[in-house]
Amino acid sequence: MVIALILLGGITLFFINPEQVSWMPKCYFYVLTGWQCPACGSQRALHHLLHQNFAAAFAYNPFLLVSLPYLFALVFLQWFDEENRFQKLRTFCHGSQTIRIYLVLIVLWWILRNIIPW
Amino acid sequence: MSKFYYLDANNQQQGPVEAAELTRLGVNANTLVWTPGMDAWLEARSVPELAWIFPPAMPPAAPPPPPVTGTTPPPYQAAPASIPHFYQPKPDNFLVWSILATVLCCVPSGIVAIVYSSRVNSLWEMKDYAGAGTAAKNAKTWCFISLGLGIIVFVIAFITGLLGAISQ
Ligand SMILES: [Zn+2]
Repeated sequence: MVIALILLGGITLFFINPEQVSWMPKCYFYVLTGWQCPACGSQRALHHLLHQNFAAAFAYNPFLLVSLPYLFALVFLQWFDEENRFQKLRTFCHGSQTIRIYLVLIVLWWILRNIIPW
Repeated sequence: MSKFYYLDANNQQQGPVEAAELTRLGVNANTLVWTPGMDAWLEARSVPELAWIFPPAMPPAAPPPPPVTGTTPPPYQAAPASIPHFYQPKPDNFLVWSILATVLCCVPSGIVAIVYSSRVNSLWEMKDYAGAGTAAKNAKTWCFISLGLGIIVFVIAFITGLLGAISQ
């Protein structure tokens, strides 16, 4: 189920460029306030990432450099490591210290990208 | 009932097996066990879900009451019947879902969910089990709000985009 959803999302983002179609989800936070949220540009960045266009992906949302590896590890631990073969990784990823650092980073990035338009 | 992995006498990982099977397989209160949802391997006696098989170490028994003199009835001593908080399993912190919502669905309210996710773990580490449970509930609620918002925004964008394409 989860694997199917991930694949579906990946395939959609591979074949469709969110810049060119009007029906891809818009960020309601950006629409309402005119400010960008920490995730704005993620879908466009992922589209370019899937086409190995790393520079374009980085230009749309550099914060994905932090988020994606973390998210990747969390998804892996949740659905692909039922036997807990990667105990140290699990302890690290779910440690309150790690989550707190991630929160600080995401909020800093949120403020920063609206001060220096990115 | 979740299944458990355990380390045998040679420190080899075994399982998964039902909790009820553990004692038959030679697992005792000091054996390291693990089940999905636990952050690390723990001794069986410190695993809340196994408390019914391996009771956690109790504080040393109180000294017996002094011998009764005269006809005073011995003071009634209540048995330590209250169940310690650590009998509850560690709640799911919904961290994956909150970050998925925040990072991929463009819903900043997911950040609230991440805050609660981090509190689940920090409160649990501080042995505030009731607080961790509440934080887990809040994390779950905010995940649903965020994912729901993401889906609503998607549907609205989809419909308006489609209408726009048709009218052209
Ligand atoms: Zn956004």
